[in-house]
Amino acid sequence: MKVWETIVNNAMLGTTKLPLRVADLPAAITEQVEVSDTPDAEEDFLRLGSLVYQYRQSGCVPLDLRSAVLSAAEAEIKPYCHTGATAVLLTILSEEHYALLKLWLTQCELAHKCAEPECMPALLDISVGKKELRSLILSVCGKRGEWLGRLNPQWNFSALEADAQTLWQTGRAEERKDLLKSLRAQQPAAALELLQSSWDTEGANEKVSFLEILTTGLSEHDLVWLEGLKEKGQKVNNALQDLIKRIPTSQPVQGYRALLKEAVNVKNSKALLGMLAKTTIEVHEKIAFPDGIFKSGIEKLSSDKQVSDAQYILIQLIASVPPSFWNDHLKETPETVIKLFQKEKKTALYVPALALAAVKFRDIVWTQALVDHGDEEILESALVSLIESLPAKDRDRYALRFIKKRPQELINMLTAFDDEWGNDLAKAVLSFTSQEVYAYNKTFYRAAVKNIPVTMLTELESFMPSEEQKKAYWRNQSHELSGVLTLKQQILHSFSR
Amino acid sequence: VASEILRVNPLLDSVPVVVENVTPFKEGNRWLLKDEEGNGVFIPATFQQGWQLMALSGGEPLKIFATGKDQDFEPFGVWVNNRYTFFA
Repeated sequence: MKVWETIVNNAMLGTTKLPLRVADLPAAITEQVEVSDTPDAEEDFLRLGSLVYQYRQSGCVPLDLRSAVLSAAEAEIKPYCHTGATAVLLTILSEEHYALLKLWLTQCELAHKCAEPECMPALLDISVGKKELRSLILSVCGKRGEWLGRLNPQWNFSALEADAQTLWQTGRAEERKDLLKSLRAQQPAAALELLQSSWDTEGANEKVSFLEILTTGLSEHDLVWLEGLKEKGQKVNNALQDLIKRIPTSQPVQGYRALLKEAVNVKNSKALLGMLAKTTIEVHEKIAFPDGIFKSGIEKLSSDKQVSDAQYILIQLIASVPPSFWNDHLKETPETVIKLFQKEKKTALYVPALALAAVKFRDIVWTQALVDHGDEEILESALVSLIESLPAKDRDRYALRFIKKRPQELINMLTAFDDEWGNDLAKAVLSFTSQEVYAYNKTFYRAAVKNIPVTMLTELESFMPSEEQKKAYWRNQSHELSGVLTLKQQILHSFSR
Repeated sequence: VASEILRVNPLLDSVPVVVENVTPFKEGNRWLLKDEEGNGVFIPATFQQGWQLMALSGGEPLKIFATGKDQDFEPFGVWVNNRYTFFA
């Protein structure tokens, strides 16, 4: 509109230099309205400018959106959560307390509630990057979340998942791995089928990655296919053998059992001039090891001068059979077997291999027996991995027992899990971390809040370090911990109403 | 009220309005508001909470507080179930 440009020019130059006149107005205005110039140029500028503005506005019409077809979300089945819970969620989201987000989502899910709609876009955005939270987020976003997912392709996970076969055939390496991982966790047989469908066309690196994923949910059902594979590459073969050897009924493991039966036995003899019976483990190191075991990944030569080649082979065999084998073979309890092996130096060297086997085959009874009855050497070499392989409740108990012995490694291991610690373990951990103010900072406490119970809120002052220079650090860190624990308390409280 | 404000001061950049029964939606890259008669306005591209507005609406008409003029209005807050949510 030319006249509007004229008015802007007038305003920029000033009415003294360039006054706005009636003659500048379009005829469409002057024909309808009787206006005239006056001696007051400023008054004329405002008066005429206002007139032109109204004229300009009168031509502005709204957009015609009658043809736009809009959809609406279905009504929610679950009720929305309490306003208090929403307030906590908004704080968690704005301050990025992701360790607490999982707790919030879990509590919301357990209470059969939905998140308030205003929080849903932020939650759905998080679910794009944090796949481990996706199913919880989709659950708490309810029908509204499903509807938003249909409108925003980035959040349309159901469409992505429905077309798993296409994603498997055309997706990027990471997407394919994620797909196989998630399918394997939920439907192991379907994941195996998916992998079988494209196995022959996969590259060596992909094959290795996919075989690693099959470790989850591994069972005898996978064995026929795995044992039937003929692979040329060394890398793939190693990964394949490693996987096969995790299945107790596989051929290699059966072969190892047979060899160990021959090589390791209980020997009963007399001691103290025949007055006492002596039971020991006897190891026949000179048995003939068939070539087949070396093809299955057992190494022939020891690199440790203290360990002979035969001992090294036996160590590997012991680490490769389920420890329950020893109960059947030696007809003894785990405790007795461990003690028998530890009785003499020449047999004690096999105990770390028992620990490896207990962890590999997730044998809880043997793991506990090794932690309970293992000697210093075994505790030194395998304590953390043994405790790590235990279920949460037992892990807590054993970690508490050994926390003073191996604090850093145990704390690192414990914080990798989501389980909340018991009060005694939490106190033991905080007693240590509060003294190590340089190693355990605010970031540590923000992440560990999922493990630390809210009962610690009233105890924080008691962990004040004795060294003067550390006190200010701890005040700062305990302030942070107090803040996140309070949020945690609010989450639990808001969903318990 | 908006037209009265503009009559008094037609040079204002934007005027505040409270409008009932408008539904937000997205067409291409643009967010829009549509009333019951099919009339609509654009939401400026600078508005960052389009999806939040959409989530609050669920596809149903809203009572909305916005500022703007002509064909551009920026939402500042909405009433849903008698609760006002503002866009920070």
